[in-house]
Amino acid sequence: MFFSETNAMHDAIKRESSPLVPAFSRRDLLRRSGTGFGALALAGLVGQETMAASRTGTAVELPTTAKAPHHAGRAKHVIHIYLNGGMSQVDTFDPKPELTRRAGQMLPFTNLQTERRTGTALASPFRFSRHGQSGIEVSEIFPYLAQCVDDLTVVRSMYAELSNHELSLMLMNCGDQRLVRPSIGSWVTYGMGTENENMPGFVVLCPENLPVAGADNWRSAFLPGIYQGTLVHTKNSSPEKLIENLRNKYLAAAEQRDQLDLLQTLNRRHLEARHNEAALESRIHSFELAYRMQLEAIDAFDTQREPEHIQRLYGEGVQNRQLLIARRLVERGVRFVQVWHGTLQPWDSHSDIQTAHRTVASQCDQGLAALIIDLKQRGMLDETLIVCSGEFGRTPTVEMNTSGGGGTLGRDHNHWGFSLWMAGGGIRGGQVVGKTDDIGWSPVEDAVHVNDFHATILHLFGFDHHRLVHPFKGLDVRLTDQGGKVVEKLIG
Amino acid sequence: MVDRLLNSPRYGERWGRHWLDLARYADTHGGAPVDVVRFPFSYTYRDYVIAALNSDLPYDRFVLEQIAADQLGLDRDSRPLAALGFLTVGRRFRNPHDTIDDRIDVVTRGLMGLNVTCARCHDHKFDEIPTEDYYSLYAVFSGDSEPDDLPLLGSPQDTPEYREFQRELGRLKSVRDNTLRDHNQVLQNRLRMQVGMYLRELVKETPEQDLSTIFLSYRTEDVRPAILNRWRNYLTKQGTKDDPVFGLWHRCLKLSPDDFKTRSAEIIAQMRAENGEDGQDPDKYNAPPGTAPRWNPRVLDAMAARPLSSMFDVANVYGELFTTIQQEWMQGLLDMALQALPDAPYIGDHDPRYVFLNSPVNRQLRSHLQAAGTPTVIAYKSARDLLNRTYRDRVVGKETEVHDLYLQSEFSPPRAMTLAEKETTGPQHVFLRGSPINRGRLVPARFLGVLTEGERVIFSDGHRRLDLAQAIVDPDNPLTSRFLVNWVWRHHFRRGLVRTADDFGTRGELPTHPQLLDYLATSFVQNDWSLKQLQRQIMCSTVYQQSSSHAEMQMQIAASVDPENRLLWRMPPKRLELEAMRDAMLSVAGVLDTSMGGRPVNLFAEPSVPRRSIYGFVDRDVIASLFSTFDMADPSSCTATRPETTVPQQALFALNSTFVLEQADSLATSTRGKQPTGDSERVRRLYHRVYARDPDPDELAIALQYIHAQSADAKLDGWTKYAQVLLAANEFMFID
Repeated sequence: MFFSETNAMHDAIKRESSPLVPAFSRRDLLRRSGTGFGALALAGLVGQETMAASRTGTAVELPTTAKAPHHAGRAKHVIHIYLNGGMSQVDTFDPKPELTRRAGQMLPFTNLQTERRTGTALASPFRFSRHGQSGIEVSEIFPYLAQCVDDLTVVRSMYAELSNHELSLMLMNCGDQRLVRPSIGSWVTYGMGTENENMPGFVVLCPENLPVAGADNWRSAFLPGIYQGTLVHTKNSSPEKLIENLRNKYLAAAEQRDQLDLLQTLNRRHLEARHNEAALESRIHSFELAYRMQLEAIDAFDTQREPEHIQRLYGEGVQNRQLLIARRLVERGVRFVQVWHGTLQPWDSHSDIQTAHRTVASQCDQGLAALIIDLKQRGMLDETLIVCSGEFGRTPTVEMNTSGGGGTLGRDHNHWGFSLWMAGGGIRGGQVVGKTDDIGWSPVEDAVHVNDFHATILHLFGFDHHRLVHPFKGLDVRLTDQGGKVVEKLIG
Repeated sequence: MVDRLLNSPRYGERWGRHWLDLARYADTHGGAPVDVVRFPFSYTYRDYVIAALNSDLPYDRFVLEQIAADQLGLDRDSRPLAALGFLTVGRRFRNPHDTIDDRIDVVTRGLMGLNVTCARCHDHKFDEIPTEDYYSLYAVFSGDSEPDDLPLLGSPQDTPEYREFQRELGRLKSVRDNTLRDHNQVLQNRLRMQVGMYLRELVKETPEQDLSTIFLSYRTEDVRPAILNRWRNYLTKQGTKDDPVFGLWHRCLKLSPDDFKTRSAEIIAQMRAENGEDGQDPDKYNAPPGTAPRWNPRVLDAMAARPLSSMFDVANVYGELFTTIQQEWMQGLLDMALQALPDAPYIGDHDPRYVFLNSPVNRQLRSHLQAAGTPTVIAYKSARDLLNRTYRDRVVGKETEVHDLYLQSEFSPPRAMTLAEKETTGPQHVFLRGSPINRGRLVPARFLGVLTEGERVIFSDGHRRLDLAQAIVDPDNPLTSRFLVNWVWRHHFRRGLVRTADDFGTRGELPTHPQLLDYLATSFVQNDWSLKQLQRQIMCSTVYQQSSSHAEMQMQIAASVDPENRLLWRMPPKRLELEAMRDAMLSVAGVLDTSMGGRPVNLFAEPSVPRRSIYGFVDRDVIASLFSTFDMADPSSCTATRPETTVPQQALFALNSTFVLEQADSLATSTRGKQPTGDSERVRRLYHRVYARDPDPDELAIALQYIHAQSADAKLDGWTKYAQVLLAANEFMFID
């Protein structure tokens, strides 16, 4: 029903938009469609070219229009959960009995070079057990998530290039650790456009402050600013304070509508005297969107509106709440949501990994499972890609105290090999891809470079990563300029 | 009227902002991850640009100053030095290659509309720019460094406060320099204990590493790639072949692993024979000055004492020997110092220990650790990047204190962000596929082949930037004047004559009016590169003075023939960009502060700072959401054309932001008038203030109806709400 109506509209637009016959104005379209902005946005997606050819010759700049995909993709949204600081693979998704056997001994080869000096093998303090039909092993620090293991693809063979946080974050987010490049969230939003113009297309959630490397993690670089992530601090549970200028400090809704009506009256008079100039029309339209965004965005961030049982499913605490917000956002058409565990790097367990990792895992475990269950029961999991990763993993060997003492029972950064998991969005659930060596330093099978991971995500969205490009300095620049190939095994 | 506008000081502020887009101006370094640092003096470049445009400085001179003010032989007036900010306010990278790339980009794309930087890795795919030409430009900038103390602009008044500032500056600098010097000692002494480790890496044939991405560990035992490069150079290029100490290294290098043991023993014996010794002389290390044997006997003895089965063994023996030498020296220093204590036992200058330490044999060895140019003698600032991460963070802290004083002290006088070029830089290797460790042929510093007729002149050492700047503004270079004319045109007409304003190459669009472009470019050069004359010419034209709107019928016909308005049958309507919108709101609200120049102000302060937007602080680390919402130019790359988007977040700013509400309030209040006047008169005043016209009767009626319908107990005055509507309306935001 929804689709046929839109297609009909599309045809109508096509028919009527010869240069001398007025095309639909946005206002007309709105009036005719009657279904509001969801339909309009979709019409925007398909009918943009023809609508832009308004008779005054000025194109309507609608930056959030989708590019044509290169093939049919299943994913429509991404939720990227960042365990920033680096999740230890050997303590979570990549059990290593050999590491336990050698606990306390120096390994029979030189430890790979990481940021700090490491010493003997450090056995995982956590128990692993098999779960679900797939029998994937998960450590005890993710008891909730373990119940959803049949929906996960665990990639055990990720690798990056350097063991510093900043550079690895740039690689993981922007595909290049050196040059100033747009983040993957910006690229996906650029390629896919928006489903709902009442909401920003790319939202970044962080409880407070900034992760390491700050706003560079969600920068749009040379893509238009509209593709930059919109940062929202979720510690403050009052939704009105979350987006800038979202609420008028003085006016009640009716009073503002009244004021807006006056504005639009003046704008329409101005427009009519100027032959329905497209640029003017487009700005008139943006005020209507803004008015609705005030209500819808506030609504999106207000988890109190969820039924009791859903709130209980996600559990208490800011980590779980922001995962629930993430679901509400993709449900409203937000394209890309980055969810940061917290300020700087909460997962950076250089010492006492037993306590440190257990603590951070317990903060988000329930919400992670809830997110999968919840999206699934709403039929949204198939089109929502969930990624859960750090910027790298951690060493299987114990970190030596930098000031010269002994071990710290923590682990240093390990970019040579690490694990991440994905769910939904067209990936194959219930499988493990890749394998690390016996102690978990680095991949020995199906190694996946971060650039490969990016190529695969774009593929899931229907984009050939070679062809999703933007001109910059005379070249067609892409996310995977440094390399990358689609990892077929991940795809369902 | 055209002259009045061109002569207004606001002209430089308006067009200066456009120029700053090209100059990718910002007030922070960028690359937040490691060192978050603001530029204390970026504003002096911004103020230079405004002043240069206001005084209609001839454009060729404007370009020369921005690329090479330090090489123009300025005598008394040092103010143009601030122009070099054009090169130096770019994003900071942690390696020289990207910094140079950024500078190449801003002078080629920003001044000529030419994309040169893609030739960094391969010949330009579409234009005639070979990789060699990129590295010829690279050579122009590779000898540049930024002076430690930036030059003052003008002379500050000698007040007690200024003297106090100088004292404090001196103190903080010496704290910083002492930290650097101390730690440089630590680093050098450690590196002298680690010679063996580096030699082993050379034996392993560890490939040269690209230093572009600095990896800094916390670990002492990690190989520092920069130091490994120095050892590699030292042993391969710097004529150590016949050196008494390293001669043996070179002779052994060629041996095959099969008979390494016997052949190396033969070499040692051969060298001893050349020395005329048999290895048995008990006093040979103490040879008096000037009588050292041909090959260093300590090296030969150390080698002879161990079975050598491969170069690894040779590397290890060298390593152990240098460790011993270093320890002997450190111990000797300590002993000699201790002698100065009152109760110390007397040791004479001819004590055998000193004779030993200072013998030519030991000096030969020590000189490889301590002489200028050897791998473990490093510039005192290098410790910052080479020692370890903990220490680096500490030095950055000390540097930040100096920085903060420059930045924050009220009495810190303005300085120019200059560059200095080395007198001898030499030719530049092409980096194959952009990799600095994959060196191709050598190319000299010179201009682009595609823009030069005949023989290309090699730029002179020490003045490479000046030569480059002169080539750019050479009247025979067709691009510079065309690019500038197009850029000016683009800001007057929303689109340039060449629509791809920053790409004049084959991938760019052809000009819509090639003859017009050439005509304007030629007369621009003939008029002594006067920007204001060019603009006068444009603005007095019929095409500029036409309206954006014609009669309905004409519009339809024209649109059917030329829907994109390529032929400029009407003036394209233009939307105010961020800065113009903000400044115009302040202006009609009657609160605009027109004071000029100085340090950047916070545009997001509440209540708002009513300065022109060009004086706002630009952070390239965290792009303010107002900037990204309103399509501000990316402050990390040269921008000739900003994107133009219309999104609801812009409307939210108009509806709800404190800034707009403040301006609406001032506007409403200031049109109330001293004597009570009728509401109609007040509406009329508002229309005059905001739209410079009378309201028509319908507009007046609409206004009065709205005002009269407001309830008295509303939180916001009806007039304020009405004023806000006038500011938010399309009539305010668009110029017909």
